[in-house]
Amino acid sequence: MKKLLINMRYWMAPILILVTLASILMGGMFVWVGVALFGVGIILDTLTINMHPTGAGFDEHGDTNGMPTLQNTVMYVMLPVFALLQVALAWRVYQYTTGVAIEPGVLFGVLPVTMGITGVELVGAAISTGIFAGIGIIYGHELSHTKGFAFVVSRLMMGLSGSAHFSYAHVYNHHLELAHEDDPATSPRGRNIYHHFWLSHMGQSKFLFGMEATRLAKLNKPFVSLENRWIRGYLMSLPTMLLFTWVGGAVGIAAMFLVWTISNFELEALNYMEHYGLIREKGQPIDYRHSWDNANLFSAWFFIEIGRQGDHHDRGETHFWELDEVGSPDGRWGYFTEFVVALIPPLYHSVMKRKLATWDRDFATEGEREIAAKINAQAGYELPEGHDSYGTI
Amino acid sequence: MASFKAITVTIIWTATAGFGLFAIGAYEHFRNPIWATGIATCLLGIHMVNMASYFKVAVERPSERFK
Repeated sequence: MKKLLINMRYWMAPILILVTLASILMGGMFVWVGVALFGVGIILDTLTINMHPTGAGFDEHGDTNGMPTLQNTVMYVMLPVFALLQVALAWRVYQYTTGVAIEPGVLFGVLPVTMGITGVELVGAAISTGIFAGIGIIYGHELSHTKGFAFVVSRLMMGLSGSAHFSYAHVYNHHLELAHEDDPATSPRGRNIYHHFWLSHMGQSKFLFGMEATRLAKLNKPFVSLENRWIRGYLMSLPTMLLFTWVGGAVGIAAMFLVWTISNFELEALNYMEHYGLIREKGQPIDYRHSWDNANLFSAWFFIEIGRQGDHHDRGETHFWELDEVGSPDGRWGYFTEFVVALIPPLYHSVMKRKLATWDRDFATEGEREIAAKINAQAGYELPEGHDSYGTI
Repeated sequence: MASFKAITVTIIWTATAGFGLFAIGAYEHFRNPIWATGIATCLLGIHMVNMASYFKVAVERPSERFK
C-alpha cells in the first residue's frame, strides 16, 4: 500500500491531462480549464518552493519503491490519451467550422456538454490542449531513453507535436554534448527563452537531419527515403495534420499550429531551465555541475522527477523513480515558478546572473571559469567585487 | 543575418506553396478525405522543405557562446 501511494504521486499530470480532455469535450467555459490548471500549478509550485522531497526511494530490502509495470503502463497509455486530446480539439474545430448551434447536449449518453463552440472558446480549447500536449514531453522524454517498442512510442508521442526528431537529438546530441556549444538544447548566458525556443527546436531537428545525411551517405542510400529517420519522424505527424486539415481546413491547421507552438515552447523551456548558462569545456566529462537540479515538491511529482537532471545525465537509462539527489546546483525553485520568471527576460537574467556567479565560484573548474568570464563580459553578467550572489545553489 | 535570410526564404516558399494550394481550390475541398490527405501531405512537405531550407541557409551553430 505504501509503495502504491508513493507511485501515485506521479499520476498528477496524467489525471490533469484527463481532466483537460474531459473539459474540452464538455465545452462552454470549461474549455479554459487547462489554462486554469496551469495557473493553479504555478501557484502550488510557488507555495511549495521550500519543500524538496527525495525521489521514490528504496524499501528496507534495498529494492526501488517504484512499481515499474505500473509506471510503464501509465506512460504507454499516455500515447492514446494525447491522441484523444487532439481528437477532442478536432471535434471542436469541426463544430466551429460547420456552425453547430450552441446548445446543451449529452455525449456518449452520460457526459453533459455544450454542443457548438464560439471562436474565443475554440482559442481557449486550443491553448488548453497545447499546454497539456506539451506535458507529453515528460513521457516522450522518459521513453526516448529506451530501445525498441518504447522508443517508437516516444517518437510517436513527440510526433503528435511535430517534434519526433527530439527522441534522437536528445539522446545522441544533448546527452553527449551537454553544456557545450555543440548542444543546441543548452542555452548560453544572455539568451532569452523566446530566442532559445526557436534556436533549440531548429538546432535539434538540424542535428538529426545532418546525422541521417551522414549515415545514409555511408550506406550509399538516398537521403530522400523511408530509411531516413528525420523524414520518418515528420511522417509521424501526418495523422495529426490530416485530422486537423479534414475537420477545419485553414482553421484546423491554425488550431494545430497553436497546439504545436505551445507544446514545443514548453519543451524548449524545460531545456532552457535545465542547463541555462552552464559551461563545459570540449572533451571534458559531463559532471553533475553541468545541470540545474530541480527537486521542488510540485515540480518533482508533476514532471516525474525530470528535475533530477544531475543524476539523469549521469545515468540516462535509469527510470525516473530511481533518480536521486546527487549534489548538482539547484535553482531552489520549481519549473512552473521559474517558467513564469523566464517569460520576463530582464527579471530572469537578473536572478540567473547571481546564481551563475555562485556556480562560477563554487562549481566551475579553472577552464570553465575562464570561459565564463568572457561570456559574462559579453552578456552583461559581470558582477562587482563582493557581489551579493547566492550563498549556495 | 543568415537567420534573417533563411526566414525570408521559408516565408517566400510557404507563401508560394500556400498560393498553389489556394489556386487549386484546397480551401473548398478539404472535407473530401482524398483531398484532405493530399492537402495534409502537401502541408507536411512544405514544412519539411522549410526546415531543410533553413538548415542550408542559416548555417550558424545554435548554441554559439561568442558572437
